[in-house]
Amino acid sequence: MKVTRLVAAAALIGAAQQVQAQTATQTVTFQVDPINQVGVTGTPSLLINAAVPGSAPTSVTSTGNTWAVTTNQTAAKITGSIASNMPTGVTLSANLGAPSGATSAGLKSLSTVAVDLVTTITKLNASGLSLAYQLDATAAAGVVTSSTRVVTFTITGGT
Amino acid sequence: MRGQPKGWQRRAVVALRLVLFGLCAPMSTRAQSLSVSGSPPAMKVTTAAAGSAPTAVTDASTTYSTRTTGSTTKKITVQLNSNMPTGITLRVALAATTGATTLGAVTLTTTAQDAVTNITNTNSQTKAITYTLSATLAAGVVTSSTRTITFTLAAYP
Repeated sequence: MKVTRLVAAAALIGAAQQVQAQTATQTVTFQVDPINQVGVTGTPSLLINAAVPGSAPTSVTSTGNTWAVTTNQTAAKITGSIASNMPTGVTLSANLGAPSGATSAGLKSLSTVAVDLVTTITKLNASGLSLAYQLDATAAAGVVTSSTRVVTFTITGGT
Repeated sequence: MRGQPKGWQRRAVVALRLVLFGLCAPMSTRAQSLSVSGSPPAMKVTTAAAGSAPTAVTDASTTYSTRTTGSTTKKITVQLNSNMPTGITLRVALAATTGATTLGAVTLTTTAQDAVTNITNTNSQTKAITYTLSATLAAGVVTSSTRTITFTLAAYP
């Protein structure tokens, strides 16, 4: 009887060596954070140097600039502002083209207070979007020497 | 007679014990094996280039070790315990042991898929495991979640 049991045990061990499958496991923890990115291209230069007699100085625009956006949230928006206000009588405005499904506010004058430029941007990435600047001046502004302003575009995540 | 075992019976028991020892002892050195070096750190998709899809993240900090008995050719399959959320993809690539073939980056699902085939090495070898986590924008924000990946050393083909 003892011999039989030993033979059976040997057979089982031999069989186990033949058929056993080895496994190992790992646990992967993952997440996706809110992603909101905006970028621009172009360094525009605007010069007002003419007027139609009897009219205000002629406004100038800078086209060919572009902007790009990526968001994985709903109803994100782009605002624009400048670090210091423009001289009295001089106005700098920006007009951003909207990506699919979003809404452009059109041409908006820039100041130190952020203004909405594009709203309801939802879960998309887009690049090469139009970005135009316009410079206006009143006659009362007089002659303004070359100055610069840094325009800051900010994307604010939605939900 | 069920009394004292006869001489031949004692000899048979001793012989079988030796056989059993002979079978069991080599298992520690010859048996097939598969192990991993723990789990990778948390993987987070956190950024994107403006105008582009989110940037995928990779982790290659963990390894696996395997060997076969030499008498059989093996493969390693990979499988998730539950599918990833919509728009989230987890891929794993196992570097091949000597003579084996890697299938490259395998998109993980609840279906077991080959990751490395034709494994024949009898000495344990340790190779890299590389995970890649990617997300579409449509996936939105995903809070911290976990999945268990099961690696199985199985007969090949």
